[in-house]
Amino acid sequence: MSRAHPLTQLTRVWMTQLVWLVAVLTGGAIAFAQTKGPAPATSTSSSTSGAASPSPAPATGPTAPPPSNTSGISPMPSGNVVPKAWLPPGADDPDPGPSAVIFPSQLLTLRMNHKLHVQGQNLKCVYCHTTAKTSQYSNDVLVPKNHAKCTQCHAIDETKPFGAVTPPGGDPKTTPTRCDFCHVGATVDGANVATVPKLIIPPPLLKMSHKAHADQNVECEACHGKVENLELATRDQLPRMKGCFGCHQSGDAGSIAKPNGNAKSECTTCHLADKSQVQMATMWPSGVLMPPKWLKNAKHGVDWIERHKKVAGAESSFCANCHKEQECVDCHDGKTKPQSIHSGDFLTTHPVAARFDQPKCSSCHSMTNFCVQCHTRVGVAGSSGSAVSTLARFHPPTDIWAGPIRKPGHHSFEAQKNINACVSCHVERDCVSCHGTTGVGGKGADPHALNFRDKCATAYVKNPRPCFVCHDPYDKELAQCK
Amino acid sequence: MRRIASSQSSRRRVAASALALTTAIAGILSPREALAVDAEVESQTSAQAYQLRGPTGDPILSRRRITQTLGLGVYDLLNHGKDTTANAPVLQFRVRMRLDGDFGMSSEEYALANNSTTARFVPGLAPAPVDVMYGYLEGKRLLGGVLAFKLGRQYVIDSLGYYAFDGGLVRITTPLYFTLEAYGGFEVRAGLPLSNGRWELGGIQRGNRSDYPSTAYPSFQKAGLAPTWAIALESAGPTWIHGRLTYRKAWNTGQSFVGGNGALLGPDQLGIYDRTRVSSERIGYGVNATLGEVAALRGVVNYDLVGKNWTDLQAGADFFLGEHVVVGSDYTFFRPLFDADSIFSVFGFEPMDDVSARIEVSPTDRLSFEADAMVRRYRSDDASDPKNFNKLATSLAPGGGLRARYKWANARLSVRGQGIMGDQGDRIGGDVLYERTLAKRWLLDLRLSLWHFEDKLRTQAVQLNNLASNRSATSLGYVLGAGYQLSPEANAMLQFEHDTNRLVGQRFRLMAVVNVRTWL
Repeated sequence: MSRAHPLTQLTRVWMTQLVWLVAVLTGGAIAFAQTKGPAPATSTSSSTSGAASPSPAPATGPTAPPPSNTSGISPMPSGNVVPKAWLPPGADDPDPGPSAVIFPSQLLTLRMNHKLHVQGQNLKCVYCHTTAKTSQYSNDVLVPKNHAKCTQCHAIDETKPFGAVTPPGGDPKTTPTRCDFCHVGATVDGANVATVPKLIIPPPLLKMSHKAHADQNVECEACHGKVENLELATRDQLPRMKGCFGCHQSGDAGSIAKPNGNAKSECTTCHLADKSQVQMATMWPSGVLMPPKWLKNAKHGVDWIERHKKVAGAESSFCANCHKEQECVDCHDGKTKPQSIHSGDFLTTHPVAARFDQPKCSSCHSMTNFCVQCHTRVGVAGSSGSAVSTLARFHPPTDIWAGPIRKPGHHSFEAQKNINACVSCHVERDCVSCHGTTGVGGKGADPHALNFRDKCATAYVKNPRPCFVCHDPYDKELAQCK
Repeated sequence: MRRIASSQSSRRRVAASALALTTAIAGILSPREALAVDAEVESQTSAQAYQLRGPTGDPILSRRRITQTLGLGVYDLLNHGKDTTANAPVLQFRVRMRLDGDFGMSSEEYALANNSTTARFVPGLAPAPVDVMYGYLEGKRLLGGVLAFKLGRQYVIDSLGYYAFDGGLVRITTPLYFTLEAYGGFEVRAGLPLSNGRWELGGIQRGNRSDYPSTAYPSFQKAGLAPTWAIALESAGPTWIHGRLTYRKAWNTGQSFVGGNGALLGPDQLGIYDRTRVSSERIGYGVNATLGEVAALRGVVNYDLVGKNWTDLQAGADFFLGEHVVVGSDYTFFRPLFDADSIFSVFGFEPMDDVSARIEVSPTDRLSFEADAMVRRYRSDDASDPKNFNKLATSLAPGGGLRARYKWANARLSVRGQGIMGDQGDRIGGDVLYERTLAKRWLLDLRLSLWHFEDKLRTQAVQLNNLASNRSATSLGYVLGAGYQLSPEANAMLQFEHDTNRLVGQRFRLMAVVNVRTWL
């Protein structure tokens, strides 16, 4: 190929840039994933994520593509937003695209009009994506690796990188095709050797067997949407997890009910596991995997630490897909004060918090084995040793708080309201002194509820031990429950 | 002195048990065949020093604590290697041990002396207990996904709450979208070897009484084996709904002190009850459903078959209002539950119930807000008519909170405010937290807290006793923390906390933590 005059070259560069500028201003562009990632050589965003930005044009080239030919450089003509119905099942409206963690940013440097090929030429997906029904691994490359397929229709001569451009309506089989007609940003050096920008499609961080899906007659559009209606297919046509759940709703034994179908809903059916092969690997260079709100209502929002029991308490096995039990028991059976729960001088302020926070307190603290022990040590428990027992009464004067006659201020009212507060300091012998049948008044203060006799027979049969703490086995009061 | 020596020998036994377990773990790890198992070792060592003082200033407990956990996970025992085939059978072993030592503890507190009834002795207190938090062999996805099992010390979490037991669990997953689970063994209880009583029901103190005079501390009962079994029916498969129905029963065995006629008995008058009796028997059901992007619903029902009472009733819903807003509301009915051995289980007390509402707004991925409000209702006999046992009075305790968080790529700023008010006291305050990683290896952790509380029960006591001071105060505190990533497998953190309020003056707390986690 002869070298053009420098002025001609410069003109062509300007023209090329002008073409790109027009394309960009009309919203069309090469697709570049909208999320963080390596800076694109031709940086644009995907159709549903809005704006595009200018890209560098080929450095050289004898003939620029006609300005009108922006076909295949964006999903929709003029950069219009892809209708939700054409996106993969499970896409939102407006749709933020597939997971930025699972599907890292891509750099698409190919012009490819799927609509023209599928609808216009009546080609099937597998005509170009030849391994789409046999691929078993997510890191298989399903785009054509060379020109072998393309040359069946396009007259590609790799020795003539900037040969010509098929005019609209022309026959691509006979007109030599330029590199930069498909390879956006292609350049050619002085030795007439073309360099095309690398197409970067990182493998998704998933287990994915196209074959397994094809074997179940799952059509391409069940995961990728209506690509045949689009020009360029971008990240936006990659699956949404919500769409996967259209089928993946079986338990471990799902394959028994449907031997040929095995769409299990366990996370590691699709997600990559950590070394344990049981739990998901959640930390990736592209981000940290977090559950969306529509999945078990488990979005880890700002109040998640207060709210997580509503999810974990109901279905801890769901949490176990990402978390080991040590993460749970570091707090729930922990020995170190978590600042995120007990900030500030919680030791001093905890009495008021503890009165209100039942049953929250008992999700991490055993009243009997934690509260009582410390309260006994520090001298505020009823059974604290005389060496440490505090001189100041914790409760109101005895005649009001624990007198034989119930009056306002009597402990029975507080005990009825919140007996856990009592149990965090008192052991059974503290109570028996009055409530025993020979206690206060010679007959003991009856601590039972009014309807206790309706239920006591069951309790007596199952465990009479607490009865015998206060009652003689032959006590006639006890006979009513036998 | 004999008993102190006996206590020391007890500790030696514990140490020997820990050594034996460590040896067993080492045995598992030692190479016999070239199995391609993955083994993970993790450990956390924390040292804390702070003081704890009684309400009147004395006693002052100096706490110098060393807590160390050592965990081991051995995975892929079926030797699948790196086969990433989805849902391959799994066999794994996990264990975690813990030492929780307090070297500031006085020997008077845990070593039983001859004049034990007047000393500082605290029943059940141990200076450096060692326990196995969990240790089990687990198989999953066996027999084509039908069978799963766990053998050893393990946790179960469901609507009945946390539970820990030593034994076996079998889960049969059917193709009909439900799982049948059964487990049985012995409840993990305080006083048993390498155990703590974290998850046993409250109301009755238990432990190792082997060194105690036969009738000393009668409220502190001798721990015995607690057989337990349970059966559960759980949904399997569908991701939008999950339900689990559990029936669980546990028994108490061994000797228990009782008093013939209930008076404070002398040692000779104490009776012994030693028949096997029910510790707890409950049935519970929890259900969660997420209806697409519209709403999430939840409910819990628990019933105590011993006391014949509903113990938990919960119902709640969250509604997703577009992409950025969630509003929700919950109702919770809660009735305290105690071990059936406990006299508290037969006392007359009332349940409490809460109604709460929340709104969460996340304008961007980085910024989120949450606000909530709740009110709790307490019930008791009407104190203004104390002789009328048929007249219930209610009192309300309203509260609420506000939270906000902003995240940068390597930093986070959080603000939290909370308050609750009622006739038992008020507590209101908030915190500001800033965390930042620096140069990928350093972590900066700054917290500022301001809390005010009014102890109204204490105030009542003060007024009636004419004491000079009450227990209300405003507390200001801050935490300065710094961490360093020593290697990909290890990090260390140092934290300094300073709190000040009029009740304790100045309180300082120093904590150092070293975490190690590595794959062998």
